[in-house]
Amino acid sequence: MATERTILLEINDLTVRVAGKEILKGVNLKVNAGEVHAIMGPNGSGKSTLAQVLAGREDYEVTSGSVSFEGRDLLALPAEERARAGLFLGFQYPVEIPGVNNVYLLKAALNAKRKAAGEPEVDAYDFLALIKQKMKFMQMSEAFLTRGVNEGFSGGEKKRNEVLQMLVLEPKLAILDETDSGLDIDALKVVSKGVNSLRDPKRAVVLVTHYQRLLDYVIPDQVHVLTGGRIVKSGDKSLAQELERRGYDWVLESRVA
Amino acid sequence: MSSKSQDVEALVGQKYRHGFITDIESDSLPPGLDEDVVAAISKKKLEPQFLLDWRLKAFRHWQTMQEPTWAHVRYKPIDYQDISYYSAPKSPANAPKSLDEVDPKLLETYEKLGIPLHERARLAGVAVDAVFDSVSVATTFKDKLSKAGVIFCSFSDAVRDHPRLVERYLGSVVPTTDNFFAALNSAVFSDGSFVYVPPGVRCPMELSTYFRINAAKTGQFERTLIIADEGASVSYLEGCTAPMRDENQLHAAVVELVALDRAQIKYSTVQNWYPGDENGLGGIYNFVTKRGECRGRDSKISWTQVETGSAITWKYPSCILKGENSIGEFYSVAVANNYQQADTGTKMIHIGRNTRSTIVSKGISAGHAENTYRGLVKILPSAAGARNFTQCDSLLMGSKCAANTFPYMEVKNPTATVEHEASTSKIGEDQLFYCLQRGISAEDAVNMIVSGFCKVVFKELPMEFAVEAQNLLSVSLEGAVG
Amino acid sequence: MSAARQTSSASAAVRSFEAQWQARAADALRPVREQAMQRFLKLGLPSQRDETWRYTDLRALASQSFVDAQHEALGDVQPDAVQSLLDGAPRAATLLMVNGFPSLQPQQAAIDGMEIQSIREMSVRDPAVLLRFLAPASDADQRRWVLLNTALFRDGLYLKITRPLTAPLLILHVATGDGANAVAHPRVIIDACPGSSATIIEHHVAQGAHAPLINSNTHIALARDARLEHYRVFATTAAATHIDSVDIQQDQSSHCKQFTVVLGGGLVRATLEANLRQPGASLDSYSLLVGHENRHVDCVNIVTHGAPRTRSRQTARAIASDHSRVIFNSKVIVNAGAINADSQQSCRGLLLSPTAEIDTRPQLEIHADEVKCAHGATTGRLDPDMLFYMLSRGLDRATAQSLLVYAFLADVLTGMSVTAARSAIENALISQLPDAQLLRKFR
Repeated sequence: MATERTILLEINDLTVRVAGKEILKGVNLKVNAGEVHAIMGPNGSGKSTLAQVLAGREDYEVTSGSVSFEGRDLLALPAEERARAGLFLGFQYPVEIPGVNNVYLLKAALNAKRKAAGEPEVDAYDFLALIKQKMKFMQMSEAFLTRGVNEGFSGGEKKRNEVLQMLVLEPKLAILDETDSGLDIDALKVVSKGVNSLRDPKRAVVLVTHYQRLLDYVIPDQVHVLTGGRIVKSGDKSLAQELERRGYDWVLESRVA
Repeated sequence: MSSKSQDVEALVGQKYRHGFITDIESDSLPPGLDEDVVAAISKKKLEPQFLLDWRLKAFRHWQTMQEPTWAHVRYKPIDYQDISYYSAPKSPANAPKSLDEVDPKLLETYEKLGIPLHERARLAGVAVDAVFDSVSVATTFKDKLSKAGVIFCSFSDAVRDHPRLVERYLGSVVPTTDNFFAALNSAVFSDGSFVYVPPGVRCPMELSTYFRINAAKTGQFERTLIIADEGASVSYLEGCTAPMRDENQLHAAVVELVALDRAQIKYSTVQNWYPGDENGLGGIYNFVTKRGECRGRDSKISWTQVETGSAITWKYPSCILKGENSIGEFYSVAVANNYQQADTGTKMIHIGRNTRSTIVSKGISAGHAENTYRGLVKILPSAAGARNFTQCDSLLMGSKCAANTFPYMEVKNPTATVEHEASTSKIGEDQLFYCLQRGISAEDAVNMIVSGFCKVVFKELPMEFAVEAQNLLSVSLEGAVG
Repeated sequence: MSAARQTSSASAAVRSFEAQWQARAADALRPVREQAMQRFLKLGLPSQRDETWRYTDLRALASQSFVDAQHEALGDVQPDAVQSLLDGAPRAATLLMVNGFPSLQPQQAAIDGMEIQSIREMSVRDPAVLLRFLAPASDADQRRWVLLNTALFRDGLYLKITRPLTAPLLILHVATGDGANAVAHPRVIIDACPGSSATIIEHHVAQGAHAPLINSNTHIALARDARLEHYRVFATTAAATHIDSVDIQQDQSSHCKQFTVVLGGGLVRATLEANLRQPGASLDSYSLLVGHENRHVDCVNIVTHGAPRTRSRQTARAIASDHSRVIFNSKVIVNAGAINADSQQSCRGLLLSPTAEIDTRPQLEIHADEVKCAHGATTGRLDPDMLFYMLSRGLDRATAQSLLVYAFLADVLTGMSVTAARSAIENALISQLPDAQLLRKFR
């Protein structure tokens, strides 16, 4: 691990309303470069809302609080600029976009990012070589090259595709929203391998998950429990094991006590 | 395949249960229609001048109109001069003051219909207004409702006791000139129900009206007006039956609903007018105009209907979604068997911003019947962010019936979303066989499958009606699977 | 107000059509034409009270008087300027129809696998063949414009396909003229013999400031096992009014793939009536309706399943921008006895402007119980979830939107097997969409 730690993401007292209902009620979180954080919590606790808000979803209303990303005001940026700045969201339910080629989207995304960074666009040939290499790493069939974005993909294929996109775009901060759900054990290993390959002193990963299972393969530096719209407990990886054994009720009870 | 079907065909032998005629002296106008008849109806009801003027205006307009022909139904021309426009049970007193004064024969009729006007009403906790032929004969629970500030009475009583409310709202949703049958109704309507729920009041019980056509050669032209003031809510149920007669009888009602800011109106109908016999003889022509206006913001109007009766049904309970964020809903089960024809659906007119509507229509056709869903979803340029979802499913039972789906989607705002889905299916032999193999009788199996098909609509009905609706459905589909 | 009154006091247009009729010399088709004309005169022009004309107002048209369009000399038209659909790609032939008159070169009558003749010549030489495709008008016939075409067409093309053909045949319809208020009634008959197959592209263009009103009809008869891929592409000018109908009669196990593409014109009414009249007949219909500027596009599909095991698929995509209005009105009828009919409709509309309108009517009329029929229709904006997904990958909004618009159209475009035509259509289409520059990049 790196010795110098720079703060990549800092969330202060974030409250968010969705369709008139307050879902996040004051979330605080600090993520340093080089770290892997896991956010765990029961259904409906606000985990996905947090992920979507960070990625810039417009119909989620931030009512107070602040988020800074590498010192910049993240909330002031539209979704596409957040992406180009190096923030990646792996969606819990990746949308199908029939008629838009999977590879085309990825190439357009990579070039948008490079352009924003003042780098030259990659040409079609180099890009194909890159993506084929990454697909091999993710054990994906080349048939994916010709299909529409997520079109007709199984749940597991969609999740692999999300990780593939992450590997190509090489974000500074990857937020993976239940990327482990619906995966069989082999797929889970492949996805974990993908995530681990991105671990780097300059990058950080936030894993949003229900289960401890993923954390056996991607070892987190910190584990947070989000429930009722707040982070109520934080700890190291042993917290995840404790949760697995004792359930979320235990956190709530111990908090009251 | 055919032996099983025959089993099913043989199993339902039930006939129209409500087909009795009550032998009761009635006070009727002779058949025919002119300005004098309109004036006579108004006079019999001791109406104020404004209402007579209103009726005459409607009548004069009606005379310039032509009967519409666009619906997918066929019937012999109606002779409007051969209908009696007023028929009322002749009571000793002019109007019954309480249930005790109601003609015992009438009470008996309602007992036969299973409609609790007496003690049972108290148990059921439903306030009932009963309309016999053209006249409201009894309204229960008036006192309890008036304590809550809710006005629930016959239309005639409302004209007498609350003329200003009537004048303000009558015709404000369905103008006299709206359509041929609405104009006719406006000219000759005899009675009906009136509901006013004051601001902030949740009506403490379900309100219900039962309509019954009894006299021969009469038309029934009732008028219902329901107003939910700001923040008020009310649930209203309507049921209808008629005797078995060989000739067709005309029922041309108008229902108007007004929901002000944050008000909610739920209007449920179980329509079981006499549908005619298995050869298509007799039955009610049910040509009805029902419309609600979400006049205020955050208001909601929900129509639920189970249509099993009538020889011809022609109705489109509609919502005008004027108020911002207002919601319109339409849940319908329409069953047509033998020679019944149904052309029914809804109109959702989106005017206000962020208005939402949901349409769920389940059509079941059997015998030689023709069942048509017709629905308009109109998004005006002002309705930014409006959304509609429509689902229309048809179930065909037998090879001689027809199921039609005629949607109209007119979208003039680019931020709106309108979705329509439709499917057509039959009761699969494999579904039937599966049930039979599990020891379920064919009758029960068909009922189970049909009620499964209709479930999403039934769950919108108030408890009191859901059971009745379910029973009606199985009766209506007698001999349907072939 | 009533329909009766409208027809009894005939409009100027109807009177002028009647005058044309009276000036026609009798030909061998006279009895059929006579019936059609009488039926038309009885019905008059459609009004908006007619359910299939609910969204198209013809009152302006009805108030005008029309004269027969000129039989222009071939030298007066410049087909090269507009003949872009097949570009340099191989084709069986290019047939030119100017204001409904074919200009056939002598060598064109003898393409391998296809007979090509002028209808006028056939009506002299062999009227019995034509009469097979000109059904007498019945009292139920409501197709006013087809009746009028039958009564008044002056010439046309008869194509008999005798064998499987690989290269597409292009029919370039040019509407031209410089005097106002002319009308032409182009007629095409496609007679596909058993087991034959072909691809036929009808491309409608207009030249000159006063292109005539076009009332065209294409009658397609597919015999047993015949296959046809048929395109009609409307690329006329903003001032042009075009009323077109395609009738398809399909025999046993025949297959038709039909594309209707509206890219131009002021008012375009495009009707498709398909009758799957024998078992196993199958139809794939694709409609690509682009509303642009003040264009009014009214597309009506009526597909009748008249026999067992018939199959139909309808895919329609409508886009409306500016002040345009696009109507997609489709009806599937399953007749009694047409068991195991299988029908699906998918119609999606995309509204791109607050002053545009899309009206959709996906209708079903089912008279048999052993059938599979479904339809889905949506109208709205671009899917916000799809848009967000792309933005979250760093694409800018304009690119993401353009990609989605393009994807929206892809379902129809990818069905086209003539690649040259497909890319010409894509080109023309993209130029009418917002962010045309961006869209070009995706191709």
